[in-house]
Amino acid sequence: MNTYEYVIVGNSAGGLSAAREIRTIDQSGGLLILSDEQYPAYSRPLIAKHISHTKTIEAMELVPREFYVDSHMEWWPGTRAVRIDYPERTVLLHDGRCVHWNSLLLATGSSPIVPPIEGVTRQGVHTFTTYCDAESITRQLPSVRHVVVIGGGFIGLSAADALRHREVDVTIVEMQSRVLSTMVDEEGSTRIEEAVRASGADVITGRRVVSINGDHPESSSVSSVTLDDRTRLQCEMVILAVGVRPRTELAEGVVPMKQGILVDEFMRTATPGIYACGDVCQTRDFARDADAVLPVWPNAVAGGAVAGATMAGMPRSYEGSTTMNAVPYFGLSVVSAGVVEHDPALHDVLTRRDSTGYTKVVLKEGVIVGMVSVGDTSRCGIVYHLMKRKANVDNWKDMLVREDFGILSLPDSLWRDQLTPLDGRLRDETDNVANGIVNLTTGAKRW
Amino acid sequence: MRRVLVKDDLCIGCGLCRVFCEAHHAGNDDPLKSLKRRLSPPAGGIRVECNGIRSISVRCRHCEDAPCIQACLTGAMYRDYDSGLVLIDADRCVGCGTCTLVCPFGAIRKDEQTGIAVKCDGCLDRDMPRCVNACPNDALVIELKAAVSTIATPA
Repeated sequence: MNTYEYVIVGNSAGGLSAAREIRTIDQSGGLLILSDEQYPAYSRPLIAKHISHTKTIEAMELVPREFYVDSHMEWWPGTRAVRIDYPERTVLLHDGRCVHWNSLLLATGSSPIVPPIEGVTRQGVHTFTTYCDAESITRQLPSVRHVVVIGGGFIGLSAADALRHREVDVTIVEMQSRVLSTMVDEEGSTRIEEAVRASGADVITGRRVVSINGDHPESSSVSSVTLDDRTRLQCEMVILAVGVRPRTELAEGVVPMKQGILVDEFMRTATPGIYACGDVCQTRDFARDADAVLPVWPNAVAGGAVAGATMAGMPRSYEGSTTMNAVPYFGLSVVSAGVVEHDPALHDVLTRRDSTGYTKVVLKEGVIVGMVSVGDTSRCGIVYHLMKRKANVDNWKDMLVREDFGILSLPDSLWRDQLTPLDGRLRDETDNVANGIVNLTTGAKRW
Repeated sequence: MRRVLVKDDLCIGCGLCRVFCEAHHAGNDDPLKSLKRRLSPPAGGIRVECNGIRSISVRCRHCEDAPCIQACLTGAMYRDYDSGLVLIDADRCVGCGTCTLVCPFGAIRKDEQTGIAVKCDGCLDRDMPRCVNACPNDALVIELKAAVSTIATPA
């Protein structure tokens, strides 16, 4: 049996980030990455570009194919981990092989939820989270005129946007009363629904799909769906985008979990030697002051780096995260973070609307806990940063939604040291040397 | 690594850094030629803020622990090995805006025309960043520093 210092199960955002971090600290300890997919780590949000712009996997890969060899890592594609044995510290693989580890990272991510709808196994019903999904959708497209997307969340919109680029008729069916209901507030949803309709797609909200039908008893292909008000929608393809759930199967019985695997601030599970990061685990939501599964890409990258550092013996703590999303579909720019639906009894809300967009900031006891921005989103990072630092903004909160909001809107104490640490010391030679600055110089004037 | 820093007490908020940055990145060093008849400004990496008597020219600081690189969903935001700068691979950027959400300086924005992220690219094609040459009050300086060390990054 092979023994590795580090075994990472999962080769996407979290697993790759952890592997990189381990290699910055420990260049030689044996490192194995297990991946049930055939491809090197790739950007999952880019799979929509396979449908819309026929981009291939090469254009989505996050690392060159030689990366694993160059970084002295073993990468076993197409290999599924099926069982963890503890305290033996081994992982059994789908082909019967077994590997021994000293520290194990569970970065298995999440899998799409397949709702128990009648006919869900018919041909032409797809999920949309992997490159394989995008490939099979693209293969079927030439014979498709109408698609029903079940679910109006981020993945549903991404699929619908890509399909509109291929000029297929698209209908989004959302169970809630509005699309993106967990990501933006009502006004944001309205603006997004308008943009979706303007692109030629249709949105039906407050309705569920109760069955996926086929016309011919002898064929299993999709021909329509039926909604809970008995409306029938013709379609040759159905995309399931009702959400994802943590892929915790492997960890069951080995590490404690609630909605996701429980980890501490160093991404350690309660079982010594086993770590977890990304969509599969539950971490601190700093905006809501609660633990939650926060399945978004940047959180997996940040958590992976923390897990990697801890595994390699240089623990540093995870600063926590929150829900954050950015929607680039249907020609819109929408970003959001934290609490978006406010409770008037708890929260203070500031908003600004203009012709091109709107901005909303949600505060609780003078501290920012959420934001939504549509249109010019360039300065929302300043707000997000204040939110992350839990800065009390009560005295000057009105500035947050002003058109000229910027770094100078903040009290000096919040930006001079924190945001621009070096600038304040520019004239101190000793500090410059200490910071490794070789030279500071201004240029010859040219206009 | 070479990056531009601002001495905010010397910045007079004239905006010449922004104008010359945009002109240079639009392909012509002469602002009158570059900016003529455009309805919206071309892509540049600078925002000039004025608040009462104070002003500051804001651009990407090419942070060592860059949150935008960590947050980028597609691997478009990357650390360039040779220069040490944080740069954008325009072919990979889908303009989602996650980088704008995590930048503490608000130094990244989405270009209206191309729909992808733009920010300071450090003027690697020039001996001196265009904004530094344009600042009339010596508020902008370049900092030369040994490159930050990082492990392999996507190509």
